[in-house]
Amino acid sequence: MPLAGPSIPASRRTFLIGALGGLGLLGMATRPGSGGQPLPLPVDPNAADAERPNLVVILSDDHRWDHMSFHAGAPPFLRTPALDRLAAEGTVGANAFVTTALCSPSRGTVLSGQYASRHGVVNNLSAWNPETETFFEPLQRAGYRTALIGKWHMPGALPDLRGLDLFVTFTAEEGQGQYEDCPLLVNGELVARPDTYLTTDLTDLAIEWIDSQPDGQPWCLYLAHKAVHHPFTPPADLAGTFADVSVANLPPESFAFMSLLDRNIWEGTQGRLDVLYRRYCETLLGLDREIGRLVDHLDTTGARERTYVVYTSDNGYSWGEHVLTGKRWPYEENTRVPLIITGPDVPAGQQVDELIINADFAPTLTEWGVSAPLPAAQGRSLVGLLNSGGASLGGPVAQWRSDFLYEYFPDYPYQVPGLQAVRNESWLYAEFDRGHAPQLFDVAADPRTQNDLIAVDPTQAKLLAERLEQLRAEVAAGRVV
Amino acid sequence: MPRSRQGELSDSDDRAAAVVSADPTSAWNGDGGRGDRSGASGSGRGGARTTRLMIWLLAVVPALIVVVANLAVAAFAGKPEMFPSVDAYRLVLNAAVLLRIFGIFLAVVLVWWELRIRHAGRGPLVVAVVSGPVTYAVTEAFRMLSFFPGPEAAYYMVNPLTVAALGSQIATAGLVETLWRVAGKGRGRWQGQVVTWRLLLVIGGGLAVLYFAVLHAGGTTGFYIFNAGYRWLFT
Repeated sequence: MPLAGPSIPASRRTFLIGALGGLGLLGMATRPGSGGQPLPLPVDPNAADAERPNLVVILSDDHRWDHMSFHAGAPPFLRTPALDRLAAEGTVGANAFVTTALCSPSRGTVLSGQYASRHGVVNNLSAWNPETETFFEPLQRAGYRTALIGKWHMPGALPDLRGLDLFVTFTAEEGQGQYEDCPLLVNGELVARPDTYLTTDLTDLAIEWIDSQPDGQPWCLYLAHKAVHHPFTPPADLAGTFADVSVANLPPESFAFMSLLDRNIWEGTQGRLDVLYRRYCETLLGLDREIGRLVDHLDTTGARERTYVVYTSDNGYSWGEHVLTGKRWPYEENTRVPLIITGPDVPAGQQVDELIINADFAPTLTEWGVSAPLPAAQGRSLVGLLNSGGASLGGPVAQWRSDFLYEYFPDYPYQVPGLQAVRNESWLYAEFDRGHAPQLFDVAADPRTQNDLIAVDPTQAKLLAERLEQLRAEVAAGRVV
Repeated sequence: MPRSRQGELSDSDDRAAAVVSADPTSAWNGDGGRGDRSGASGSGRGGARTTRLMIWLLAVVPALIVVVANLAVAAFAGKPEMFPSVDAYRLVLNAAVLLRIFGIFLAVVLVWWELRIRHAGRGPLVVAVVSGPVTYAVTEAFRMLSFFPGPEAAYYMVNPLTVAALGSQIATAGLVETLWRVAGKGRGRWQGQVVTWRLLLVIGGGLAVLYFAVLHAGGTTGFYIFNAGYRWLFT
């Protein structure tokens, strides 16, 4: 189906460049300490004058890993040509997970490379620690121009963020933003954005910022979309695209009004499940289109040849599995995320099966950019994995992790207990707070995690319980996992 | 025959008539809540006791609906294998969930008329309005104990759904009362104004509470206020 994007009026284009440029220059001088301002760091005079690649991280919201049309498990009606193209041109991480399936903690982990229990944003109520180092900082010190455009959504006051030249975000709806006419904070200044659709608007700003970078200077763009978070709102021209499709792919335990149960109702997805799900998929079409537009622009300008692009999401999303909607739980549909990486030396059409976690992205970016680790990061650089076992700061591929810790902290009023789990290539073992019984699933044989084997295989449960204890200690100690 | 401010026949002057009832709004204004406690048939103490029992049973029907629906969901949710087909499973679960929502938000519509006919006093009428929302609030607060400590679980009782449900039940009761008065006027059961400013306040206030608790800004307003209260109390 056609995905022709809306054109940007020339007057608006001119305005955007002027607004970004002007506000970028003024940003440091206006309302210091008011939050949302970039705090550029001085360039290290000793930074090697090497040719550095550009870096793009596109982070979507609540995008299920199996909802890309190149994925074998994708709904038959869904077409995501931009993501399909990226996958064909780069490497797909088939086993990419988040370490906490919730917006704020996951975003903190992507930015810092640390587990939520380390960076401190353990749920949507605990504030971001401004002392946490993000991947922007070493990049900027090495001469990168850096931009964060889109969803920040950390609890607490919006910080002034070190390591940025441009900080564009939104605080509407407690940081969730709104799909239509979402006002933006551009370097701390509120800018009204009438007649805009947020996914398109953020992409416009990203393209404008990329175009404004000086030739020869490397840049890093972190583009964090609201899509495809609720309220699922596709662009006007895509609304209704799936109105008549069969959604027989929804799990058998789901039913139309399950979102009205208290276990689900606070996800903000009240209504008929099939209607909501169709709108989710339509919103995804809009996201795919804008990703395609950004990547096309990189191709057209020639920047793509020296740009790494990472596409992923902050967490997955249940659509009826276990009679749940949303995220948070340790099950596959909640913790798995899409991962596509393209770049100058990233093989095309490759699939990587090793376990990748969202804590890996920050050290990967710093290895690409400055050939150095991010000191407090607990993830591993993916460079070696992508280069078929080549040397990397992430360590030998042969010694790649065989499991990881998943953690979730209670987030009021969601009816999900605090939990920690260990997920390896075959098993998921989870321990819950407040007296809920542990669970054990053979995810290789039972990817829908329907059959709890905790009573059937106590030996396996005991082994994994011991491993969980080890992982807890390693993560708590800040070690690279 | 003395008349109240609204002009309806006073129940205390016509106990034997059994078709006259007090204006509940005047009862709520402290006129004593004089429903007809003599029983619809006026048949003596046994009959009066039966009538009182029936009145109280009617008053808790919304609560019973919520309980039955909760039990159905607990028994069947996630278990399509218990049904002959997935469609049958979905039919039953959807019905259970909608029944639950009905019990929480609207079920007073089933009992208000009957309670008024039976001259229910203020107590049963209030219970009829609140029993659905309160049952919901209490059962969910108990469920929350398996996720959060006691005080936080208790705070859940004032979540936007409970607040909205109370508003909805109040408004619904007011609407049914209006219809009851219209019907009563035609039968000589009600004289004077059908719609009073108090009744309008009840209906309008209930709808306003419903709107702002769960409908304004897609429900986010009520949710953010509820969350702000949580943060203020517990963090």
